[in-house]
Amino acid sequence: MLRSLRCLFLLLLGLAAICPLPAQSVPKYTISGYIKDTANGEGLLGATIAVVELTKGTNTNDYGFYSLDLPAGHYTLKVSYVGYETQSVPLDLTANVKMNFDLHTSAMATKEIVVTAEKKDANVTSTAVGRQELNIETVKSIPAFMGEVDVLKTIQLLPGVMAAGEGNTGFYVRGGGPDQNLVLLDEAVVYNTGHLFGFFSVFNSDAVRSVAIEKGAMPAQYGGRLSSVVDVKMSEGNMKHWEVAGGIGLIASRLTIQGPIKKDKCSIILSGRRTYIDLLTKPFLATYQGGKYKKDGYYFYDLNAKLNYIVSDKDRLFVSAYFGRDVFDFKAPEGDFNIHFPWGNSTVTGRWNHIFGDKLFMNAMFIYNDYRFDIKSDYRGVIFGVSSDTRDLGAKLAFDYSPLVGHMVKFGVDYTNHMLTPYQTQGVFDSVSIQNTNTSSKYGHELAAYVADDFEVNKWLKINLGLRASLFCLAGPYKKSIFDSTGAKIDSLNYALDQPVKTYYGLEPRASARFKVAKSTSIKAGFSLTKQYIHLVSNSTTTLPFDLWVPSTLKVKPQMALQYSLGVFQNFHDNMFEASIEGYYKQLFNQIEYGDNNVPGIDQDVEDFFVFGKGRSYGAEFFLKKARGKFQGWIGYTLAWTQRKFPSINNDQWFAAKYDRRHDLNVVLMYEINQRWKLGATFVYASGNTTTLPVQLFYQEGTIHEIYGPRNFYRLPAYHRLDLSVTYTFRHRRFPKLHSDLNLSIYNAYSRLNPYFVYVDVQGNPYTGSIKTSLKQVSLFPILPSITWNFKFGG
Amino acid sequence: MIRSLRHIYLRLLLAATSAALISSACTKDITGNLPDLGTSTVVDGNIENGKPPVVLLTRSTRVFGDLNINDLGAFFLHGAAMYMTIDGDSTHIPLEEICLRDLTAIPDSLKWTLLYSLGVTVYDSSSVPDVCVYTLPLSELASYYNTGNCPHCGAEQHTYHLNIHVGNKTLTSYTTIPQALGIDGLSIRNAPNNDSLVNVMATITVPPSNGHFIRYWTQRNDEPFYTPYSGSVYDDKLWVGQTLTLPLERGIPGYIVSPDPVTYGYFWKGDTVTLKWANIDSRTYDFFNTLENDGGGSPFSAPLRVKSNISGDSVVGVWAGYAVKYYSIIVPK
Repeated sequence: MLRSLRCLFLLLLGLAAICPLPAQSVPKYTISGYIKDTANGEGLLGATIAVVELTKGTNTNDYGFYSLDLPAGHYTLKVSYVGYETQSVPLDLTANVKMNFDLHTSAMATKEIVVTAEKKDANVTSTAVGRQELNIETVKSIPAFMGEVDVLKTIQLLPGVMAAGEGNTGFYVRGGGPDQNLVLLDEAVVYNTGHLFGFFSVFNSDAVRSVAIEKGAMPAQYGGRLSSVVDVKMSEGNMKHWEVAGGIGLIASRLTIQGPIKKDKCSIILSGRRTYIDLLTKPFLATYQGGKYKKDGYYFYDLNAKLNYIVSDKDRLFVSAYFGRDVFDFKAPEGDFNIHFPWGNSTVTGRWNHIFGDKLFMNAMFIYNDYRFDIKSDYRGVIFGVSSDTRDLGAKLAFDYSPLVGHMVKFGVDYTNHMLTPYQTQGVFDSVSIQNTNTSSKYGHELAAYVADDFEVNKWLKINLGLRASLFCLAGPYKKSIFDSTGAKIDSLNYALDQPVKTYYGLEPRASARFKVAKSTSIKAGFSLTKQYIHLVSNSTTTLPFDLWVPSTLKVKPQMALQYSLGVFQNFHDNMFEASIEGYYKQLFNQIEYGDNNVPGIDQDVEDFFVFGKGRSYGAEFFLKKARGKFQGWIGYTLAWTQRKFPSINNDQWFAAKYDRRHDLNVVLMYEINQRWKLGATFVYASGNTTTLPVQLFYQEGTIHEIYGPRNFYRLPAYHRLDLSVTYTFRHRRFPKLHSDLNLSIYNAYSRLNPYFVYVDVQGNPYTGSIKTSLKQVSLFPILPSITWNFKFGG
Repeated sequence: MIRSLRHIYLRLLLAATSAALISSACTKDITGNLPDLGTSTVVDGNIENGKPPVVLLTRSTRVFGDLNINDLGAFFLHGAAMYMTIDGDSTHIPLEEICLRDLTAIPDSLKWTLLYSLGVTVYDSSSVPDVCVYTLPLSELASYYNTGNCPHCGAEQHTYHLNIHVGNKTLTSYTTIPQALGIDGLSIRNAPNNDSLVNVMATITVPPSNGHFIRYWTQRNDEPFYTPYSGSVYDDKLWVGQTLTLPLERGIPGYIVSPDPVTYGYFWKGDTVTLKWANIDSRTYDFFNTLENDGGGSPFSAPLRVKSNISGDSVVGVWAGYAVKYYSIIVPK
């Protein structure tokens, strides 16, 4: 399999070599620069600059930069971006030239919901397979759970992406586990994306500028995960005017301030969000049952900050940071148990953009991210603490280079230093203290280099070829346990600081091709080989604050996936409608699960409970979107199979993964009645999750116990839900700079009791009467209305 | 109580979270077809130092069948051929089936022993099923009860092999009764914020080498011995070389799923408390550790399959060796 992939890769590489663009006999010059939003000075990513006479062009990169090589001559440049007025500029090209463009929001755009920020036919013309971009305005137009606009829940409405559970921000992509999604916030990895056990994502929508997901042939610049990349970019801050925006909802409020420290030179954005359910309930808890619960509470908060400094035409600096915490406090009414449990992420990204010459764009990054929890409790005088820490320190050097018209080359290197500290426990009772010594931190160095070229072979064929080479080295200090034949630990081998323990490496070829069969129709194919060196193994069906990330070790080998994709893309009615059908087949190697007899112990290395196997997933995704007009939205449907095979589970037979969901349908509708009223609706239907239930009961020492059936043999009832929203936009004639709206969202409008989980309930005392067993379904959320007031002042 | 230290987060926290979710959520009965995968043979056997081996042989039942003590007699497997060997000796020591109905001449204390091993808490001759066990032949039992002489009773630091032939299945197992290490003693400590409840404290000196496993039961006055709600087994990895005094958790009947949080784990002033403290081998520990930690049904944990120490087709259960020491203390009023 791998050999055939290498052959295919070399074949495509050869094809690129023998299909050069026509040689130019006249001198060539470069035009380059930035395309920005006039209103706030932010770079527009994916904006198009087209040369009318040559019917060629290019798009801006993630920072709004473009570069285009042309023969000397007279041209007309057409600069466009959906939702903005198109500019046509004549150009007499006789030398290298820098041209920046400021695009104005079109009058039409102000009346409509902007569904996409993509180039309007990007889905047909690009080589991207399985890529979807979401404008933050789209995210805000969809009914929100408890009024909290959530980018991850919007992503779950796309085909191929499935929600991990009721109201949960965790998601599965094309049969991969939640840990196989690389979630980036300004290039920093976010290890735990959920607040409140995953019911809310850590992304404050007011601070988010754009969201994109890659679920097909992952571009070579991304690595370290098997299934998808969710790239969340924070707003850069308004370079023109100061503005204040925010929202007041039922459970949380938000406030964002942004503006120029120095106009068109330096901007800053500060954004915060906090839940106040604890503050609202405190007065009631203070008197309820004599105040027994007055010290209980839960809240979370987020802080985002970003500084954007234009040093010169060639240099820009960015510093962005995120800090978020959940805090849970509980004191038992009996007074003998209390717990304080904070957890959360923090990230810092420093970036330096530099343009070498006119063609080479550099993005140098320093990245720090950390996820930790730290539990402290007192149970009848037993003081106990558990903490865990997942910390990355890394740097990236990424280059965009456009050597010729029709070529966009990306290359770079990434390095990450991982420190993964599993459960660290301390306990004190009177004079007795314990501290675990068997679960010390693990250290790893992850290094990758990549190169990719997105090039237009001819009018019909466009190819993206990429190669990523990755390496992971587990380094000391490290303790290798040695077990006897019965599995009992008999000795250990210690590795010194930075002493290599185990090194894994490999090539990860990526390729995709687009064949344009008509003006608005294309066929795309792609394949990718991806490796993952950091793993999260979880028993749960949702993301939890105490999930542990573990590195590849002597025992835990890197996960690997091989994915093939094939799709047909068709636009209709001048790109008003976008349609696609994509099929995929994915093979997964070195998959990790907990074994059947896993009992979590705080004094044991979690990897001792792992078992290893393989997986496969395949399916088809259908997508139809209406991208313009008063009535917009999309329908996504996925038909999928996801299976796993482990020697030590289900007698080495294939079984349905917990991510297996045969049908997944999402309908998203948005309708703008007029400038004041907007309606939104989403409908979700999904086959039930799989789970494992007991099939037999037995007595042991007079107590009834359960014998489970095969892994994941039972499928829960189907899930479906309708959400509705209505938004009223206020007119503020006395305060023309104030814009505000009131959003009413109804989650689960017909109050469907969807299955959250199912269990076998055994009731009764075997010695006093008959035992009754029944199958119970637990449902979380009935109909949940919420109301949020959003405002924006200035700008 | 000691065990709860190990699981206070990973179990208590998960359980609390699940409970909070369930209590705030809606629960309803649904119908669903669970596959019929037949039944399993269930072995519930033990051998304690100074006592005869006892093996209960039953079968499992499908989930949606009625399962109560009055029907339990129907689950016993009769007519099995069973024997035990000790260490490397090939001598077969037969274990014979004895049912309560056959024990008219046997003292009630043995009946109680048998019933306790099932966890039966209320003796009512009209409702107690016809319990059957496999144990030493009646002649050996009579000698044991009359003279105390019991050459095939359990003894410390010996390994006991069990062989069962039932139906067309052959089941085998072995267990070792380790050295009985015991504890240093019991003491009393008043419960905080409550005048009538106390903690019974055990002072333990853990040997400098690890690899020791413990199971314990408590008895309050004339009640049977019960295991603690939070689990009955633990290992000493975290305590090696230390002398520590920790609260014991009062055992409760296994069918109680929601103990009273106020009195949970405590004893009352005036109680006579007896501790049954047993060293066990790792295989016995693994069985009870997996049996008692199944969080099935919670969305936050996967079902746990019991790690039996019985080999054979479709079998679950344990053949447990106990190195037991007993301790008593009277709690002042």
